[in-house]
Amino acid sequence: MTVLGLVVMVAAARGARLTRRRVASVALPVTAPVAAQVVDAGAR
Amino acid sequence: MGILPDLAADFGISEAAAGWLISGYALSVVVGTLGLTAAVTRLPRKKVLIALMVLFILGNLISALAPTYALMMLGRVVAALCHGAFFGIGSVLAADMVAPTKKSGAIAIMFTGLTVANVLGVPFGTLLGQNLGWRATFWAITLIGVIALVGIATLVPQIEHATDQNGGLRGELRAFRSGQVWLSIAVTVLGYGGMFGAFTYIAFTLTEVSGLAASTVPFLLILFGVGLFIGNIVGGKAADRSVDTTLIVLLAALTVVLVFFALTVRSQVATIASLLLLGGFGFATVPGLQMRVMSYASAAPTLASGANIAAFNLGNTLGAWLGGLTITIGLATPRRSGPGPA
Repeated sequence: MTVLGLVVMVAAARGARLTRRRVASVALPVTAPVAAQVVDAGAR
Repeated sequence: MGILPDLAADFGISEAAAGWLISGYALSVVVGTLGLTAAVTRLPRKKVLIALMVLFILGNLISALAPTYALMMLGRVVAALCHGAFFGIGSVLAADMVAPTKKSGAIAIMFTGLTVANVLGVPFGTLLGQNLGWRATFWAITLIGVIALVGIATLVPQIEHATDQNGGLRGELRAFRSGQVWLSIAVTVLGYGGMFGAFTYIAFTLTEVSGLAASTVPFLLILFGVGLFIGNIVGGKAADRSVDTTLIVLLAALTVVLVFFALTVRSQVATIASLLLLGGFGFATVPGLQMRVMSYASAAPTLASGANIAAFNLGNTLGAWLGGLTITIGLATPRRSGPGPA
């Protein structure tokens, strides 16, 4: 589990760096925007 | 964790079933955090903290009096429902009580309180349980809950919170649009869960695999707590410089410690060293993980903060479940005293 956590953390840090370069969508996993849409739909 | 063997013996249940008292608690924290935090975002935070503490006292009272395993579990669930919401709202309230430049420090102080509670609470709870029975531990927690309730009622200021300005619940949920919030929560579940998988069964491991005397367990848990306390402070300071770099380094180090612990668990000296390092590196990640979520949900951090507390406990549940699974299917290191796995 901890190794998986490390892998996700490295991906998240890489995604954050890419976000700062305005290309965040390349690095973010597919599930994140989908989950965000689900939560947003729930809020509406 | 320390009174788990006594509980298992008293209720006549297996080690894995006793472990469910911890993982069931953690799972209830997840449900309670998300449900309760979402329900109370518009209510005054001080009143919410008081109500949550009353629920915590009630749950521990049920556990102290529980005649059966089922009622024991019910008490754990009731106490757990308020846990995540309390820490989630508490950390946001702590940040609201200070100037904007000191918010991280205020959150770190709140978590220092949590670490001190672990340093003192886990070993002395174990010591109390071993000498006066496990019910005495729950009576002590109930009493501490009452003291905390009086402390909140008299010392915590009534602060108007900004949630309404952010659109209430809708504003709080909007923070979850950020992919980084979700990734941070995933790191919390996985990274912390690995540590907790080892820690849940620590009393069994120390006594039955490493061969240490049961009477030494409370003092070894103090050692774990010392590591945890130092880790929290050092991890918090490091995260102030760079959250991401700190978390990557700490998770890599925690992986090394867990592998070292697994390989050297038969050696009592190495096990004691592992315990200190496990507490240190395991809890050093906590301030960084909490700060990362709150920074990516800065416009409306209450629910995201609570969700990360839920994530810690989801990690605890998964870690404890996987740990129990390794015991059940015989993958764990065998006991010293018998043929069964530990």
